[in-house]
Amino acid sequence: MAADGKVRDEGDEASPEAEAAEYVLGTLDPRERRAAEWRMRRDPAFGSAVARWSEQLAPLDSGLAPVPPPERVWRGIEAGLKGTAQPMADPGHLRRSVNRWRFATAATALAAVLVAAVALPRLLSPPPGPASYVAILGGEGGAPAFVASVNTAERTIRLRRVGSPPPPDRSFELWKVPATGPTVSLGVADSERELKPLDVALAPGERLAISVEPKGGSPTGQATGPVVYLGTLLPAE
Amino acid sequence: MSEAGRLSQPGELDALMADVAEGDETAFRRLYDRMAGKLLAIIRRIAGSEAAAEEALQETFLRIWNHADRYDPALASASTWMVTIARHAAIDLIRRGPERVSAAAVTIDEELAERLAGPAPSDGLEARGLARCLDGLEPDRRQMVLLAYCQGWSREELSRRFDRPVPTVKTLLRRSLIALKECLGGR
Repeated sequence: MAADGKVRDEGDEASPEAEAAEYVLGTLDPRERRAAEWRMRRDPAFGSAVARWSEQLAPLDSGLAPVPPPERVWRGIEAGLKGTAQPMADPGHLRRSVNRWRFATAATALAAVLVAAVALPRLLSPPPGPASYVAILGGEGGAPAFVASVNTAERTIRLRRVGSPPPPDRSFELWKVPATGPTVSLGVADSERELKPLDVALAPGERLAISVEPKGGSPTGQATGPVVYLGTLLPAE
Repeated sequence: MSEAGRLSQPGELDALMADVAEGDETAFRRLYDRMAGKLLAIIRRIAGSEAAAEEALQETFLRIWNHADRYDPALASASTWMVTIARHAAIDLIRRGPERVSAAAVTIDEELAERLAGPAPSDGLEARGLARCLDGLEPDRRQMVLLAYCQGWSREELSRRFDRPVPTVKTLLRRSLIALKECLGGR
């Protein structure tokens, strides 16, 4: 009987006990999980089974050293409590968008992304003639991470990092995310300050994004890692 | 504050939870100071990036705030209750995202298996018992349970990694869990 993995009949695997165990393990599919959560609140025996499994498997987490979170996490929570946290109130937004973006169907999904730094007036049409644009790229916590200034006359983009550097074995990569069409790499963005030549056209309302890539940049020409910062280009004045 | 999560007295966390359930924001901040570091460590194993981990941690505390009144100290410790919320928040986040690349996970998994093989002397009786019972599982099944719990792998991800159909993965997971329970002297 013990831990040899043998069970005597099908009943065991379909039992509420097994359902509770898999709930704690985290492998129920979304529908099963909703059913389990519903049941937890109505069936005390099932709720106890979930609690028991949580306690039994808890030692798997006990060896981990705590990782102090950056202060922006608390700020995001506070904003969430007050119901003002656009980006974090529905953390799914960025993630979902990143997903679709990665599959290069970009535009419409990204239009739905809400980033605090972007809560500025929307621009309907680009101003005439050469102009300079800025974008503040922020992450989920809403804190700015990069400030980008585009000089269309000189065809340069100046990038200043105001947030954390990339992890030591990774690179940040800057992307142009147009309203339609594929994303375009604007190069690796690992320096704190950088002036890059700009060989693509940029227009206000377009987005810039930073993804985390293997050291030296994406090997594929499309973002392969998570998009961590996003911002919209706005006229500088 | 970093070690505080592990050192907190259970009764103290329960008292904080009771205040949080009443909508006490000061208590909520103290609870955060006590638990955020521990929860972030757990979430990071599941989430694919720092940004995703922070996002899941934020979501975790919003859920704790919103559902504090559902916590029942008679059933589980406050710490365990919060860990369960954190793991599910992290899992929700990654399941919405693209399939994860499993290469990184494999390395971490091997480290993990190593660690579990010989529990640290500081680990409690429960940890040693669990490690012993996990050891009694066939290697593939043990790996499945650990990847699911520690890194939030879905049945589908496990199905690909172990080259078994999804329904089989489900059956194997459940059998392994029931075997674990019996080994642990399940009630």
